[in-house]
Amino acid sequence: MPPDYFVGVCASFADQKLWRAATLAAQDSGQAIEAYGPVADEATMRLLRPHSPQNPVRLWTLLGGMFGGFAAFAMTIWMSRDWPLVVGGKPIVSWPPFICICFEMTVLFASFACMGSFLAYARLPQLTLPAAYRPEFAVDHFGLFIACAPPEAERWQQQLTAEGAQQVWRIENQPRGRLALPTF
Amino acid sequence: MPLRSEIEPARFTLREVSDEILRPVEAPPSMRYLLGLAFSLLCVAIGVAAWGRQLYIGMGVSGVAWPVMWAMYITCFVFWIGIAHSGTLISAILYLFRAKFRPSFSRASEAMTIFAIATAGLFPILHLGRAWRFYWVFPYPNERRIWVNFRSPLVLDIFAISTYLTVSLIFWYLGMVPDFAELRDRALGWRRTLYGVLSLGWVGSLRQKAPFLKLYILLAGLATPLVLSVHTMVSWDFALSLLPGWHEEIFPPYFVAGAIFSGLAMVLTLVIPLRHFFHFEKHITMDHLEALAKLIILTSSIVAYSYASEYFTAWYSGDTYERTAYFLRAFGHYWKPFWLMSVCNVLVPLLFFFRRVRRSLVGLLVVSILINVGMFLERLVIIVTTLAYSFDPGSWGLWHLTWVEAGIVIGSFGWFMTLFLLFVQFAPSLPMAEVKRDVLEAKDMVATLSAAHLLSEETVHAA
Amino acid sequence: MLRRDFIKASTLAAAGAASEACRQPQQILPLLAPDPRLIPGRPQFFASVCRECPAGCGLVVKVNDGRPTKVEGNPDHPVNQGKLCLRGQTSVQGLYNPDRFRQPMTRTARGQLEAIDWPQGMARFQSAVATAQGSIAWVGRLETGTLDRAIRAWLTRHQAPPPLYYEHFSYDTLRRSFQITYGAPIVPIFRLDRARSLISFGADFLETYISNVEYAHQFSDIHSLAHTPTPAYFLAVMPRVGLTAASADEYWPARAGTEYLLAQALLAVVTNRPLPAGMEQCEIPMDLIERAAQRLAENRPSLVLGPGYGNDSPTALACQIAVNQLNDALGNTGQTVLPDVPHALTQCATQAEVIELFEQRPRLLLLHHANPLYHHPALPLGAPTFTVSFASTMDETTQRADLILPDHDFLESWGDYAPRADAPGILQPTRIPLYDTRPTLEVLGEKPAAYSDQELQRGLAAGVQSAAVAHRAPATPAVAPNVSLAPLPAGEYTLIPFPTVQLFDGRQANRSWAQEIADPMSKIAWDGYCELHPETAKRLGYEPNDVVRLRSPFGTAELPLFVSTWIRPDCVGVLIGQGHSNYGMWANERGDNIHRLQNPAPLADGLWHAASVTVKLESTGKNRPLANLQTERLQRDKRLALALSSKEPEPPTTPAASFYHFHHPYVNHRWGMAIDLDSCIGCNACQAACYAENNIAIWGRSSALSHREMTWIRVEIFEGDQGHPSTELNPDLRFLPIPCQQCDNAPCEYVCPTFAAYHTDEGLNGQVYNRCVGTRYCSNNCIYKVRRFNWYTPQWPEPLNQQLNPDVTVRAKGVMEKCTFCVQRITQVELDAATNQRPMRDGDIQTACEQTCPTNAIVFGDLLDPASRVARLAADNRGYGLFADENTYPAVTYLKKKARRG
Repeated sequence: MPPDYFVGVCASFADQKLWRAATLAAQDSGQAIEAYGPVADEATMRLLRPHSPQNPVRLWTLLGGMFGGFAAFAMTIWMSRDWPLVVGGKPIVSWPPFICICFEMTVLFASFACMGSFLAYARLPQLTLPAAYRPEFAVDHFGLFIACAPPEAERWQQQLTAEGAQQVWRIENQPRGRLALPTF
Repeated sequence: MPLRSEIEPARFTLREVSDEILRPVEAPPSMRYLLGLAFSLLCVAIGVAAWGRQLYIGMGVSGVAWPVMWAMYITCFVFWIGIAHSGTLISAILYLFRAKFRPSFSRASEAMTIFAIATAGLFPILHLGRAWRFYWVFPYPNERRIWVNFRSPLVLDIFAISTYLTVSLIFWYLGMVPDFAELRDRALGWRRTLYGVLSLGWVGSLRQKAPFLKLYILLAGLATPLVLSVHTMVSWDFALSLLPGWHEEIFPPYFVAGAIFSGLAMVLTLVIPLRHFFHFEKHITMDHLEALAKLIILTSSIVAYSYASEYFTAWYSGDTYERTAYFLRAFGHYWKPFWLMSVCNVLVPLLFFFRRVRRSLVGLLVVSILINVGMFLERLVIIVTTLAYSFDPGSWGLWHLTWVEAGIVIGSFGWFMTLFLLFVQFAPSLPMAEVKRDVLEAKDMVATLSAAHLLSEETVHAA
Repeated sequence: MLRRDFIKASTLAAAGAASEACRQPQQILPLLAPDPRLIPGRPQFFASVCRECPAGCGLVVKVNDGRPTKVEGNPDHPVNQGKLCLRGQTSVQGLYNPDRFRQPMTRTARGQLEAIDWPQGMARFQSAVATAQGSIAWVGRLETGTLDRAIRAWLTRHQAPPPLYYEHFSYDTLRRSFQITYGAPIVPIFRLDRARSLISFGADFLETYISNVEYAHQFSDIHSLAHTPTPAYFLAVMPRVGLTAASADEYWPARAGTEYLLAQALLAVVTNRPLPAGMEQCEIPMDLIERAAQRLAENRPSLVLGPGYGNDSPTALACQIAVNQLNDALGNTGQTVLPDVPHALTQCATQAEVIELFEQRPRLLLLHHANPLYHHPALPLGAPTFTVSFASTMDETTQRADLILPDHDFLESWGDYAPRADAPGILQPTRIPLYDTRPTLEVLGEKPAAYSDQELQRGLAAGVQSAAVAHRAPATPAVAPNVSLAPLPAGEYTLIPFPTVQLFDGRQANRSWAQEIADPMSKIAWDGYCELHPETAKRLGYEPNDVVRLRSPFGTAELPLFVSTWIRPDCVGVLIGQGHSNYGMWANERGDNIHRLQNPAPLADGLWHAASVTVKLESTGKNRPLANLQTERLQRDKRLALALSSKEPEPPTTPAASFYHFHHPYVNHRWGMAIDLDSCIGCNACQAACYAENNIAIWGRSSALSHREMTWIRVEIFEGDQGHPSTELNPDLRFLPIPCQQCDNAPCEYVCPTFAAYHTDEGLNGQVYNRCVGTRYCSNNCIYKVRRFNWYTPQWPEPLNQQLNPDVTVRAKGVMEKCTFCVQRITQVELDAATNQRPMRDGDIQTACEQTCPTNAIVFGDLLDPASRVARLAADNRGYGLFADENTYPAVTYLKKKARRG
């Protein structure tokens, strides 16, 4: 798990390529980082290697789907036997139509599991936004945050500026960022 | 050479993209919009009044009568479910195929899917003789342990449609979360609260994006077979029966193709005005619309093949009931809707073979509306003619439209339009994150190509 | 106690009281020691006699907690032998008719009717009688026995002439012909059950002629393969195919009015005399006549019946005389025609007598359940005549009465009626009178002469009196009256006023069942109409449902048009019994009163003839849609109503492929039904019985127009099939009653999401009304389309709600319903058998439709019991399942009609 970064250096890039290079460099240095940007392109994702090597969403989706399918079979068979009425000259457990229900429940539970695991691993929903986050990161700027001890901040600031950052600033002593929701 | 539509986005800056897409959401609604909304709400009111009358007096106020026990309501149900189909299809399948024109339509068509299911889902309830008992068709735990009949195609339908609605909602909503985040950052007051809640605290960090991409592709992968299964099960409402004209193996692929066909037409019908009123011409280009028109030609030919195949099968089977049912479908009391449907669904889409029609907004709009009409009539023809002319000629009878039935249909269109108008006012109609990705990719491409001197001066300049 | 014993006992008990009690109880005292036969919740059964028409069928009235809810035929009664027609079934609706008078009424100075009490009414009545000074006329429905004696005694006491018993179907021509040929002006008894060949020159003996239930029963005995191995031959000669002609083996569409020539020709062939002149007018080939004569001669005894109401033309008397002579020549007199055994109808006044009476303007006219002004709208009535009506409901004659002293309904009354000497019957009240009405006998204040013990013994205890009567030799060979048939004027059409089994002479028109159940031939409900051949309609440029104006020299009528192949192109048929102007909520404003078209005066032969006019047709430009409940009459190549001659595909040699291998675990019973198409005459009695038994809702004309009728068993009519197509001389019409087929593999069941439709372990397709949400998928998937949906909340206007059967749920709005094989009756018999620890026998359970079927076409029973009738019929080589090739395994077996001999 990545650390919670409260202190570090943040940079804002206007150019995606420069940002990508800077982020790669920071990542290679072994520093804990977080990157922001308005676009989610897979190329960058592949380069930047997500934080956990195995993405868990797939596995959860599979498990959810399997659960849904088996639950549907169990439900249909149990309910049919619990209220056993003959209809249309068909046996009480007429499995062919039950398959349809299994399929739908498989997809349904797989989707639930997929969403649930995504939310869990993305740590969503969040009431607060990270201190490093700036609104322009959602519009047309790319952000890079590097967690570092205050003594190293100066070096990182210089490096980031050299790598083409438009703006570089330090984040200090802010345990949490601003609230995502306005307070009333 | 890349397509013009692929490098065209290179002209925009990302901020321009945000401003243009969010302008309709952030600007106060125009008078035209309010009038449209009022009209839609009026239609809803008509539908509510008609349904109220039907609930109070009984199903007798509708046109359904023995032996045509289903008519307009189930027609609307299948029609709206059909409309719902191409939304997710465009969004999910085009995502899986990495189709370039996907972002232009995906958001609006996903919304269309959700609203169409929400509309379609009304009809199984309001066509019930005892609508206030609608929950009996769900397998809810009850003290007497009476469960539902899992052999009934209607129960299969309930599972299919509720799953489809749920999964589509998840897909649509999670896809909008990044855009809501941007709206949240720009908004003030209660809108900030609204979008703050809706955006779930999204900041577009790597930690969020990595599972998000996985989620999106998985959901797309799950939704694609779901799309096919849902209309398959809707078709089984008919195909699992015993009636000539319904009891057919070809129904699942035929219905799925028909659904996609009608859905594509509905996307065109909705997107062309959207593009016009909200000035999305830059993002929804003629190339994009033309791509849809081409898809319509494909699905139309599948539908045409199905029509022909139905008749061939009826003739080739030698079964007297099948032959009579299909003969009377074309030449019985309902010959007008049948032939109108055939013209609208088989002949009119052939106009898209002409480039001039494909690239004319008027042409696209007219053809798409005619296809909508044709597909509505197709469901009506399948349902009503089959029931009107079944096995025993002594039990033949006709259905006639009543104002209550028409009112409820109008109400359903009003309901759909209301939802859609609220959507365009409160949510971005285009997926900004994806449009921005395409802009960046186009810029990259232009850079690469111009470095190799593969682009004309004019193009580079434009970019 | 068996029901049969109980009926006998209650009949005897009634007989003891019959001479005494005619008053309603003035006080009701609780029973200190309750009658052990009174079990709350269990119905009681009372024997009575049906007074819906003069046939006088025996009834068993089912009474639930003091409310008569259903009538059935009395199995011990010699006339109907347990069967009842649709009209008889509706008699409970007559009792609970919402339009009944609640109390006496009188006309005020301003001409309005005003309610009064009985003392006032009686005072007015007595003063009217006093001022009439013997100029008193009684016009009432046909009565025999006690009331007849009382009326005659009262009239004698007031120096008035004897009563005129008014029946519109009074068989004047028949009586006159019997006067001429046999010397006695009677309506005789015909014995169809003895005949081996049968010709009808228009007598609609399956519909209204004299005693239709009895004749239907007898006809099926001699004509149906189910009841005889050698079916009799039946030839119908009439200008229009009605229900009777529809069951004929051969049909001659002779020109209206030429029937007498054909009868004379048959007589000539049989007796080897020269043919009458002018035979070409009949439009019937000579070889057919010879063949028919040969069949008559070979199959003796035979029976020839004369004209009926619909072709009671100016030549009808000649025809009837020739028919009598033919019967005599064939040796039928004393065998199948009993000219010495009069039917009660003999006592009726002729129409001419009634017309004359009205023209005499008596000072006081007493109307007793008679409505002559409906049938003779031109009759004068009003000042100086003071009219007193004893009617139960308003009608066209009573609306002009000055004083209304309403009588009890016959189900509330004591009384007796004997349609013939060997079939006396006692009416006993089945409930406390609903309203403040009084029996007419009490109003008259006449104490009837008591029956002698001998009469009671003979007539009631023995039940059936021997009908052996010595045959009297006919009078001198009758001279046929000198008639000649005028050619039809150009542009005019012979008017065929046809009565139907449902509406009779119009008196059942205010019964919602008689209106809601479609006419058996036209399948039109809730309307009067005229009938034209398609060629004629096309030539005149009329479309179906166009309102056509019929203009006779005497009046006009405007009627919507029904186009039918089964009427001669030079005739126009008009349904009688509709077109009431003031007869109640269901009867009013249904077409036009067609009696205005008829000649109001008797003809030169002294008889009033119903079908003596020709009419012109005029277009009105109006349109009135008719509720036609079956528009398709052709079977095409569908396997529907099959005959032994039908071409059929080979039955499959291997069972049809199935996804499942499931066998129903029937242990105790598997209920099934067999319906014999050869017996079914299409009379719709089963439908009416079903309505009465199962609380089936009525929605009215507007719903019938959109096919929203609720009948659980519909009777469809089809023409011949490909193996034996219908031709002009051979209609080969087939009636196909379709109840729920209770399929083993029922398509309705598996589509229901809530298990409202399911299969019981006795093989019924159960329908759980409470569980139904109303998706209506079951009806869509039912290939027999026997399921019915409650489009509205069912309504039974007071006091019709009292008719409801407490053993059957009243279904709510939005719920699907269907035939249950009368599951309440099955359950009742099963419970009784279990309580009494005795096995159930075949025939213990009778469904309502089976019980009433006049021809025993319906048989219900247990298919698991190989000895049961239904199991044997299911294995009959005439048996087939409707749409059985769809793999539904229906529990109803249809038995093919016999091949027509034509």
